[in-house]
Amino acid sequence: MPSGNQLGRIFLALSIFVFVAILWEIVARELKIPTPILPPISSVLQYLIHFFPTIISDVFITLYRSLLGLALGTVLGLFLGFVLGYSSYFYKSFYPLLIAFYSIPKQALVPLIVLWTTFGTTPAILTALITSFFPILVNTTTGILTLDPDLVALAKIYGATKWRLFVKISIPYSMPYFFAALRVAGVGAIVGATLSEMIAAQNGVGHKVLMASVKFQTLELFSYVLLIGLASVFLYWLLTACDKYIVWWAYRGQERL
Amino acid sequence: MKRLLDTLYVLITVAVVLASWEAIVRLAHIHRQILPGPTVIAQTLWSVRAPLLRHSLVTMMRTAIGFALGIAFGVVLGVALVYWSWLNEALQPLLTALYCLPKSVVVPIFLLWTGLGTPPAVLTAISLAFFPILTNVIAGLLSIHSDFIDVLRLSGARKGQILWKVGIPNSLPYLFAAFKTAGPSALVGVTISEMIAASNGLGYVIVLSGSVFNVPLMFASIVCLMLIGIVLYGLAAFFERKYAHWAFRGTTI
Repeated sequence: MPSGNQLGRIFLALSIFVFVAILWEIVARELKIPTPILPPISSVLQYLIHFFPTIISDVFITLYRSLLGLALGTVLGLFLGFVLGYSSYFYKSFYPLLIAFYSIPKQALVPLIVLWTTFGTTPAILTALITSFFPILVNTTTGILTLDPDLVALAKIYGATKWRLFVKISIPYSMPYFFAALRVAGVGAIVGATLSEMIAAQNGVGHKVLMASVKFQTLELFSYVLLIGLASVFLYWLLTACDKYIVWWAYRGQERL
Repeated sequence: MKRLLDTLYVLITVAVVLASWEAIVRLAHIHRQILPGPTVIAQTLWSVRAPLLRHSLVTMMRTAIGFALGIAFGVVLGVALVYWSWLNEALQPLLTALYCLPKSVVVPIFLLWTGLGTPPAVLTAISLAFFPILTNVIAGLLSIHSDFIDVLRLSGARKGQILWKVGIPNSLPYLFAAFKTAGPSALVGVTISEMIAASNGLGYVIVLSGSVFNVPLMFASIVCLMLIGIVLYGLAAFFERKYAHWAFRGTTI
């Protein structure tokens, strides 16, 4: 049951979106902006409702690709993060390389992935995988390596072996870092999948959005952008909720911004 | 000595990776159209250096403009949101929604409004570089030690003065830390936009070489992009160490 303060916040959030929608409608209508540039939001919503089954099926295709890529990227990133956190040899030799890869646009690899695999689903999943993999890997490793030294010293005094220290302390304490990265990776996976669809697919939001833009079908374009935006916000919200409920102890006594 | 050893580790790893890549390509007779070896990529880099440099400069210019504008917008909005906290309350949901909106699907809208080339690239770069700056500026401004605020209030400082004299210097380390994320993000934005909506720049070259199966050229352009990314990150880290070093005094990571 939301408290009064929370209700006020929800009301404020809703009113700002309504305000933006009204502003959009007024600007588009009063300034007589042609529909191929900026259609009024009422027409976009009409279009969206009318063609909802087609649009939602493409959104589902894109979400399937993004989420599968995100899941694979998460498993891989976590596993490698644990390996790098555990072994200082691997860390020393591979971490600088990973940072180098981290700062390059992974999205540039899409054409290569397309050449190596095929059109459509496979490159989209792989692109979502590599875009979500790196933030998770880097954050998990950082989380493991920035342990409180007092905690480690205490565990060692109690005679913990390296392995037990790793399982009982390192992994749990890296989880807040992991979940923080997961939120970023979720949005990144959708970016990766849609980009791959733009370059090499016959369906999915990316393909539809680019085609609509080239044909000046702004009603279609904005409908797709609105729906995939909504899906992305929902995913972000879901991952934030996971963060809050699974590693709640990390935020104890700390006011969140 | 320890740093030298660490560098040696990295160099050895890079050498091993490159050597085994070359060996696999040669021994398994992998065609250069599928996976070119490092030597072939180096040859390509050298033989098409002039056009690659030209496209790299275009990408760098777009990234620099997008990065700079992203910083400007992020800092201004961050300060405004902290100064007027009601504005923060009101805009927070909208900003979260905009942050979540996949920037790739926004490129076609920019393409429609502004045409091909630099404008959509810069706009996409801004939309990606803006958010890390904004969140870190806000975090920096809000993490002022409350004793400082008390002292300044007792001496009769106004809200704006506190923000200017303590808030801004306090948020500088956060801002410099954000550069390390925002710089590469701006490059991602430019690349995405160039892949979809440009007729020059490295993103365009990568997609074009993919569609004509010129894989060595594709790898060469990816190497250029990689170098730009590393330089961007390195510059940000350098400036962080130079101008915000006082914030890291005594930390050992």
